[in-house]
Amino acid sequence: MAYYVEEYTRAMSLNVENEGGSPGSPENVPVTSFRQLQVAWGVTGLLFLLFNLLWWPAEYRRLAADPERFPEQAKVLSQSGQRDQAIRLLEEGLSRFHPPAPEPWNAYAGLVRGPAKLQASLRAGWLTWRREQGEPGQLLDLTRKACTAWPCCGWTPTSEELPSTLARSWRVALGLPDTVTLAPRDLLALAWLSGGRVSCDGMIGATGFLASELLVAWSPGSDRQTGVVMAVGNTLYTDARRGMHVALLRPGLDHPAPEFLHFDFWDGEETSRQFVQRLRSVPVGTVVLFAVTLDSRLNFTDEAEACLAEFGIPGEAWENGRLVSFGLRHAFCAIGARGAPAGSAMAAWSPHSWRGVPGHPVCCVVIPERLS
Amino acid sequence: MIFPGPAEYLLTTLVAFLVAALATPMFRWIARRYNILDHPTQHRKIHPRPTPYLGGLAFFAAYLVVLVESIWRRPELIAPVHYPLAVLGAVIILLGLADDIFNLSGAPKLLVELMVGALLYYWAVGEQGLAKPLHAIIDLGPLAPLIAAVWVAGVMNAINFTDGLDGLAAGLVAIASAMLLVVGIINEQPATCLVMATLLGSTLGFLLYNFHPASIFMGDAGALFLGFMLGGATLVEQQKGAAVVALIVPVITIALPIADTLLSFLRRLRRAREGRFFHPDREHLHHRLLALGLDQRRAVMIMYAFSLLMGLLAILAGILPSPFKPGVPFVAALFTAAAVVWLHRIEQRRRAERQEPGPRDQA
Repeated sequence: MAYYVEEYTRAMSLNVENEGGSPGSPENVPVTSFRQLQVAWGVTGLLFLLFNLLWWPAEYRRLAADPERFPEQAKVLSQSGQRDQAIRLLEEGLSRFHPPAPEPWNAYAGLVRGPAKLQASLRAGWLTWRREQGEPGQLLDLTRKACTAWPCCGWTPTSEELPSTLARSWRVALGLPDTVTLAPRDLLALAWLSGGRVSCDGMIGATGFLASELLVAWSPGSDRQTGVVMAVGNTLYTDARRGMHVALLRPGLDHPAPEFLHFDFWDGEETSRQFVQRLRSVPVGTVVLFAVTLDSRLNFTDEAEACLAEFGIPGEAWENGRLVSFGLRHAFCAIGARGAPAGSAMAAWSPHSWRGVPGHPVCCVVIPERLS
Repeated sequence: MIFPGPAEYLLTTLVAFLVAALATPMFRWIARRYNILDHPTQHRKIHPRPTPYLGGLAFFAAYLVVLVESIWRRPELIAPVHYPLAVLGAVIILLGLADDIFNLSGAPKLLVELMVGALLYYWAVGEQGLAKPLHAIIDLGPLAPLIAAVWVAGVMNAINFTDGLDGLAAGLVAIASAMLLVVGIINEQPATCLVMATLLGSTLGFLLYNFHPASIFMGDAGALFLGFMLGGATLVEQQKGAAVVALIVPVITIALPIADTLLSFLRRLRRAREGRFFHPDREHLHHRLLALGLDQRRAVMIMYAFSLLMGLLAILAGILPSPFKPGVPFVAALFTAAAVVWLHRIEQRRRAERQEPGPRDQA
């Protein structure tokens, strides 16, 4: 230590000699006062004030044009008499953000007419019930009304296990007590109310493929207490592990046994490669069910997105201020088929949150004609 | 959002450079006018004559001008982290100025730094604490704000510790920000790129006045602000729509200040028994290089060169495919440890040469 002190003193004295100063000499003793602090802080404050004066007008302008603020923009359009533009803007925003808050749906319901008005107000009612944790009776009232607003609500489950598992998952996700009974028709109504996709004629969306078995994909989103629920005919699959769960149903067999797979992309991009490799190995016509627990977006590579699109899964979602190919955070489910035209499959998603309102579970159901 | 591309950030660098180059003499004048000077009265100070402070305000001014210019010209360049960085950066500047003028004690300073780091996390990152230590992603849960606070406060102090020679801290930050800018452009991280381009431009503009012999110092205000921006902007990377704490690349980039901070921390632990944990000393790496007989310019250049090497490794860590990434931090750690050991060996040899008489003397 003494060595260092000696060396530093030497180095310092060398500097002093070279540059003609005298460190520590009495004339250089600092005089500090609050005046100096006032000046320094004053200059900082002035800079910051000027910055804010220039920042906020531009920030307000930016916020006004923010796509996420579509309800406010639509309100302005509507108030200025541009009703059609307001409707278009709301439709675009609703399909882009899938807001789990009732306000945009209420705004839309206030502008449109016919079945769309009823459906939007029912969705708004359900989202309000969910946000305010309403009474179970009010929810059952909503599901009853939903069955009149959407094309189909009836189905005949071929086993007890699927409806009871689905009902339990919905109860956990919605914070309902175990005593609340959710009948099969309530389950379909909940699928409609939460923006899910339901096919009652066995057709898998617009893929052109017909399902001979009942197909169900239910995603809880960030709620890991329940996990995904998937069903192919009487074969039920439930799993609470994080990631993407996949059910493969080979074509050309009368009662094919489904194969269930799980991919946790948080393990790294290697999982994405395995996902692509596995899914691209299935023959054209293979029906595939997807359901996500918590998240499937991190490390989901562009190639994996392209692979998902090959099953006809429709894309585009808005996450954390940017447009992404698929809404894989946090509730996502889809039913598609290998070789289906782009965007023709059935898919549903709910965001992690929208303006602080958390997303909700989503569900896709294909009911063969004989069961509906 | 379409990534703006390198030309956009070149423009940002230029704007920041011009602001810093024009504002620094102005702040120097204010500092002289109101006697806000760094007097070489303490043992660890090596400058010969009182030198104006307030250089740090040039970085702050450059960042504010870049934000205003960007939001008016191309609003899409602005990310949610940028305004919180400006507000909390102002707090850090105020803290640093108070420290420059009144030489505050270390403990309350550290507390404010940790609070600012945690605030930044809650304000700009928020909900979910994901981390990417190597290539897999893990959920940090409630530890996330704590890790963020320690990281931001740690980088602030690391940069502050290196601010001991003319042009050293500004030059190291210029190198680190240039490397992080390259990584940010490669990985398309617009939030990080804007901050790094600003830091690069403003530090280069400031170096016009701060390179040896310096006519103005950045002071604690500048060093803490640079550290805060460097730590805050690298805290999170937006990955597939999620905010992920991925610190490997920035850690490699500023390996030198971090190593210096760790060594200083160990020395302070030794002194803690005497109740002098927060007391500064003259045993930082740059002090040790000076003690070997190097002049300021050479000592600074050696540290620049090492930092550049680390920066190139950081770029490698940023572009290598996942399976190879974990190897880079180990190589960087190996280089850093080797450099510290090499320095120690030279010091030991010098000490032995001074203590032991040579063969001629014995004869």
